[in-house]
Amino acid sequence: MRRGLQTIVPLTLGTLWAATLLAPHPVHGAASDRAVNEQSQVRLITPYRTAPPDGEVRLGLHFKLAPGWHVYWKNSGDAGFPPVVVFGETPGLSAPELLWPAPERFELPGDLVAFGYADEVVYPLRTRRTAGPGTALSLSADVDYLVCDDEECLPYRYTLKLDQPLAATGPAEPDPATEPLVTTWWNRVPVSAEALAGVTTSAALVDRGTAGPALEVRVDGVQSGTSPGLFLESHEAFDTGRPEAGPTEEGVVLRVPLRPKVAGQPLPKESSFAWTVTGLLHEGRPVSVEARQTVPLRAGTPQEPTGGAASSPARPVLTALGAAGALLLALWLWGLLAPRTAPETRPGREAWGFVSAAAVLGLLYVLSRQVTFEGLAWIELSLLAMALCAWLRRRAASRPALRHALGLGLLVCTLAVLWLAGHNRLP
Amino acid sequence: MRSNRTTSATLLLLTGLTLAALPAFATGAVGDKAPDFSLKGVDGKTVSLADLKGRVVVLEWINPNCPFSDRHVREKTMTTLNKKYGQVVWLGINSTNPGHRDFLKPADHLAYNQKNGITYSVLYDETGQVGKAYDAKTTPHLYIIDEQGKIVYNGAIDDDPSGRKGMPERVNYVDGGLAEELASKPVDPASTKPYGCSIKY
Repeated sequence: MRRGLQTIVPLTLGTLWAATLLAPHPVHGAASDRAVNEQSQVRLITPYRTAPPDGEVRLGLHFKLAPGWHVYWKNSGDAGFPPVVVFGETPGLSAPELLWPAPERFELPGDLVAFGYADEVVYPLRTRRTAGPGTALSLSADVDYLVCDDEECLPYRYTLKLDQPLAATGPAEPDPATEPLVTTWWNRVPVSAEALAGVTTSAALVDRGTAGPALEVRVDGVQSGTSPGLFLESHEAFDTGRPEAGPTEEGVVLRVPLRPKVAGQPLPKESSFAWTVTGLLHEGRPVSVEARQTVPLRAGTPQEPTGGAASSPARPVLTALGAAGALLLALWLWGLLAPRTAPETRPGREAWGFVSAAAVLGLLYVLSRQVTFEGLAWIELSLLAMALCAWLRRRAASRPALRHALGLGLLVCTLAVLWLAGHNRLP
Repeated sequence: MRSNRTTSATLLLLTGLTLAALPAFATGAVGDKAPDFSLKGVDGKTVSLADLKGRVVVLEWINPNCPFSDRHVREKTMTTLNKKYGQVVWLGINSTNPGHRDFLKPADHLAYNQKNGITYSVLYDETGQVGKAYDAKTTPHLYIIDEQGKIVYNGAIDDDPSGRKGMPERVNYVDGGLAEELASKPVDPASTKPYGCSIKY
């Protein structure tokens, strides 16, 4: 019985979906024919009954997707690729620009993610009249797209054609079937902060210690919706991790971990990030905000006027930390390796050793949040060399020349720690 | 005596901290040491990366049931490069989970390889551990490893996800990368965004 249901339910859903796809679709003046396959259907649409004679012309690439399938945003995520649309001649129109509504995030098996749209999406296409009145709307588009579910991906290619006569007089009249659809998705295209009263944005690189750097985006003057999301366009230098979002008194803050694509290379002073934040509320209305901002990647680089405070420490602070650490370590080694004192002073010495060890460990923790993994490893190796020099120096009491050489070694190692701390700072 | 014990403990602690920091480098990024692996091929022979030290190696994540991977097989993108750079070791790695419908049994994979002229070794990574160690995401996803065992390229095979361009118009990143690597020049670009199906881990 259970097995029968398991067969019947998908079959029924499949039949209903197929029936929807195969039902006759009247060729409307506001839409091209639909290209149909098992996973999706796609067509070109306009929101008008007749084409507008001048000004902006709105069009859309309309997808309907079978349950469980998705198409992609401009950054597809870990896999896939976004639709590619190549237009033929567009007489009387500027080259259409494809816009990207706010995407969703899809979790895929294997801890992979995809960014895109499920169920239905209209990618708005923005164009303008370039010639005077008298030209009908005639558009031909070659569309390549990939449709995926959790299990498989299928690429498709279609040529869609849309012809629409010109409005006889006056402005274009809206089409009751397509106009709400185009408007709905047009309104889901992210806007810049300047377009929203009282909204400001900032972006900065933040240091998360051993967890590596993260991009922090703040959007002030908005409220958090159901679940704000941060989406970055592909970046030449960084891969991104899983973003986190939280409310602030002024708005919303989001952080996404960054991982350099090329290891061991110094980061540039600054880099441009294009980001979109979805799931926000502005004056009670759902909005998405987008921006392209230049973000300093190293301390000391002047901040962008709109940027937030980067938490990377200034060089003097780090240098002072390194110096304090070297001093503590030297005192610790001296305290432990100095000639033995009377037994009654031993508890004091032990306490001093314990406090010193705790201080050094604390310092290493602080350093681990300030310098790169590689830098920390080299610093620890230098500290190890210092300890070795100090130990050997004590054993070489009868050989003054060797003691001097080892003393010099201690000094070199101390300077090396300072130098390494200064030159391996996290961005 | 106590002093020696404390010193030894300190040395051990510092060594431990140093060693603990080192594995964080192995992430599959360009510049990282290529994670080692030893995997059994569809022909039953085991291949270890450690045995290929001193050779330039290309790793290609492959899934015959992925339309992108299959398109490049049909277009002979990889086999042509494999022949062009005979001194390079080309390895296919299939990280498809054996429970996934895309998984091909050895006999079927071997037949697919023979039918399509794939003469290089294709290895099974059934647990996905190797794929995840390299942070491989798509089929195809390609890596070039230099003679010292360092990753010098990570990304797509070319700049044409949709396959719309003709072969001569495509920028084949691995072709360019191998030419540069073999001429002892820096690989540029060293990193691109891979495209295709997600790996079925």
